[in-house]
Amino acid sequence: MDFTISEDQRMLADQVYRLAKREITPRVSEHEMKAEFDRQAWKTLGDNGVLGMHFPEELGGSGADVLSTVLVGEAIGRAGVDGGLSLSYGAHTFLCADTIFVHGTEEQKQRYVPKLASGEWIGCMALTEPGAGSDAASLSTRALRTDDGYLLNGTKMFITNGSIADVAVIYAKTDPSLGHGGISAFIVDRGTPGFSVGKNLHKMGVRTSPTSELIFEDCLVPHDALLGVEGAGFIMAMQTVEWDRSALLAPFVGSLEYLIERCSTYAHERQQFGRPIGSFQAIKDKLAKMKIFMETARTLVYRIAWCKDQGRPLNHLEAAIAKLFIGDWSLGPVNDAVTLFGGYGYCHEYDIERVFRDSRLAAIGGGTSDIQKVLISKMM
Amino acid sequence: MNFEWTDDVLEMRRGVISGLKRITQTADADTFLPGTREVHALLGEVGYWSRACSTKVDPELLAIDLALAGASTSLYLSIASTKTFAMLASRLGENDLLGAIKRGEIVGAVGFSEVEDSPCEALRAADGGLTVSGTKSRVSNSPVADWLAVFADRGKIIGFVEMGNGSVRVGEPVSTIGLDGLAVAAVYFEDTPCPSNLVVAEGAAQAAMEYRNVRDLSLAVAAVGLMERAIASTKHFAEQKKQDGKSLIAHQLVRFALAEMLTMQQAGELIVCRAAWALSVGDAEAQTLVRCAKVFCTESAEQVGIKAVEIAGAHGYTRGNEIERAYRDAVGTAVLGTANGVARIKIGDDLLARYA
Repeated sequence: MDFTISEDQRMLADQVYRLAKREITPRVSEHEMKAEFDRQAWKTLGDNGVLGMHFPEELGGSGADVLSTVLVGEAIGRAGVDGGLSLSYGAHTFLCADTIFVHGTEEQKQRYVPKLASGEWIGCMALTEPGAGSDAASLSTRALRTDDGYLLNGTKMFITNGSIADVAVIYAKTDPSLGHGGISAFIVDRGTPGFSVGKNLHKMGVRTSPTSELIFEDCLVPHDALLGVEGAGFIMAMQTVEWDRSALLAPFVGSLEYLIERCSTYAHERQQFGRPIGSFQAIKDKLAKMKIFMETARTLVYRIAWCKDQGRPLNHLEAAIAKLFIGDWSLGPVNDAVTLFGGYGYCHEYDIERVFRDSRLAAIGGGTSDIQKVLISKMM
Repeated sequence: MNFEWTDDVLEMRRGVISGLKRITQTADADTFLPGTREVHALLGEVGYWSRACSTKVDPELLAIDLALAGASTSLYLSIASTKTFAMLASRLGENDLLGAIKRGEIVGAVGFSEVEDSPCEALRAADGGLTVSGTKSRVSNSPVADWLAVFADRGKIIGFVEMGNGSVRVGEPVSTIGLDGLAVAAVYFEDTPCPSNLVVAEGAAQAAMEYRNVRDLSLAVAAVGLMERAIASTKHFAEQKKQDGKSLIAHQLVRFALAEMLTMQQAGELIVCRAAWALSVGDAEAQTLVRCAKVFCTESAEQVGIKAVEIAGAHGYTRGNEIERAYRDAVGTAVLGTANGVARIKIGDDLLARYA
C-alpha cells in the first residue's frame, strides 16, 4: 500500500486550485443565483487544459492518469467552485467525450475529442428518460436502422448540459427485443433536424449546470453516428457511469475540504458568550465529523482512480461503495456546516447553503443510493 | 499510489491464515485466549515479529493485522499489545529480549494508563537503572504477558520488566461487556527494579506519542476485522433463515443493510491503511488521520453490530455467536485507547490550529 501523491501531481492540483480560486470562484455566486451557466469559467477550464486532461496530446489532452484527473477535480472543489460547473465538466468530459474517445472510430475521435477537450464544443450524455432511470433496459427511445441512417425517436430527461451541448451521446434501442443487449449509442450533433431541446429544469442545487429534456422526432443520423457496434450501448453506459462514481465525486470531496476551511476560519472569527465559537466542544465535534467523513471519502475515490489507472475496465463494487458512501454519509457533515454558521449558513450571501444544496445530488445523480445498494448486495 | 499489498507480505499472510486454521482446531475460537501464545509463535515463524520490531510503523504488516482481526478481535488485540511492546522494546537496540520477541517467544504488554491516586513513579539510580512504584490500570495482556513495558513519571521514561518478578503483581482480570478473549488487568509495581539496559529515557515522550498512535490504529484495525466477521456471519444467517416463505436475504431491506455494512467496512479498511501509511512516512497529518480512522472504524463497527443483531433477531440477541459478540466487542474498540469523544475534540483542535 502506498498513498504517495507525486510532486508533479501535487503541483498540477495546486495550479488548478489557484487558477480556480482566482478566476472562477469569485463568479460563482452571481451565476448560481441566476441559475446561469458560466461560459467564461468554462472557457477558463478549457483554455487551461482541465476539460480534456486525460486524453492523449494528439487529441488535445495532456495524457494525464486518472488519479491526476481526480486530484484536479478535488482542487476545483477545494477552491470553492460550485457543484454546477463541476457537474457540467464531469458530464462533458467523462460521460460524453470519454465515451467517444474509448469507443469511437478514429474518424469520430478526430472529429469530436479535440474540440471537446478544448471546451470549444460542449458535450452531454443522454441515457435517462422520463420512464427509465436506473432501469436502462426499459429505455423507450428507438433507433430504427434505415438505408439512410438511424431514425431516432424518443425523449430524454435530466440531461446535464442538454440545452447548451453541441454534441450528445445518445442511448437508444436498436432492438427492443434484446433488453440490455438491444441498446446502442449514437453521436448526435446539435442542429440535426428532429433533435430539439425541451424544457430546462429548475433544481435545488447545481444550478449553474443546465439540466434539460432532449426530444428526438424522426431525427435521422448517418450510419457512422453509431458508436462501436449495435447492442454495445449498455456496456458503454456502465463504463461511463463508473466515471460518475469516481472522477465526478472528486470535486465533491474537494468541496468538503472547502467547507472545513470555511467553517474552521469562521469558528475563529465568530464570537459568542465572550469567546470564539471554535472554543466550544460542540463546534470542534462538528469540524471533526466533517474531517473524518472527508478523509474517508477521499480514500474511496482514490481507490477507484487507482483501479482505473491499472487498466481495470469495470470496478463496479469499488465505484458503488464510493458513490453510496459519499451520497448518503455526506448529508450529516454538510448539514453540520450549515448549523455551524447559524443564521448565516441559511443565507445566500454565505455559500455554505449552496454547498448544502449542491451536495444533495450526490445521493441521486448517476444512480441513487438505493441503486448502489442493489449493486453492492448483488456483488456481495 | 498503490492499493495492493506486496508479494512478500501476501506470502506471509497465507502462512498466517493457514496456521490460524490449524490453531483454531484446538484453541477456543470463541475467546481465543488459549491460542494466543501459539499465534505469537506462528507470527515468529513467518517473520512478522522481525518486521514489527522497529520504531517505524510498517504499513504492509496491516495485511497480517487485518487477517488476524478478521479471525478474532480479542486475539488481534492481544497480538497488537505485543506489537506495541515490540515497537517500544526496539528502542533498546538489539538484545536478548528483542531476539526472543522476533522468534515469537514473548507475549508483551504495555502499561500506559494509570489511576490518578497511584501514578507510576520512577526512582532513578546513578547507573541509569530504575525502581518503579505505582499502578497501571487496565493493561491488555497483563495476566498472560511475559514482559511488560511501563511508562513512568508521566511518560518521561520507560522501563521493561519481566513478569513473575515478585515486586510486580497483576490484579484479577477485569470483567468487561465484550472482548472476552482479551486478558486485561491492573498491574501493581512496588519498588520494582529495572536495570539500565532495560530503560528508555531519551525519546520516551516521542515513544509515548507513537505508542498512542499505534494503539489507536490497532483498535481501528480490530474494528475493521470485526465488521468483516459480522458481515459474513449475518450474510450466512440471512441465507439460511426463512421468513415469509423466502430466505431472509431475499428481502430487499436486509440486502440493503448488508450493503451499508460492507460500505462501512470497506471505507474503514481504506482509511486505516492510509493512516498507517501516513504514520510510516511521517506525514504532517498522520496523527489526525489515525484519529479519523479510529473514530470512523470503531463507530462503524458499532453500527454494523447493531444492524447485524437487528437482522439476526433473537439469534443475534442470544449469547454464543459471532453476531452478538461483534455487537459487544464493538463497544470495546470504541472506548479503549483514545475515547472517540476525545479523539473528535482533538481532530477539531487540529483543524482550528491549521486554519488559525
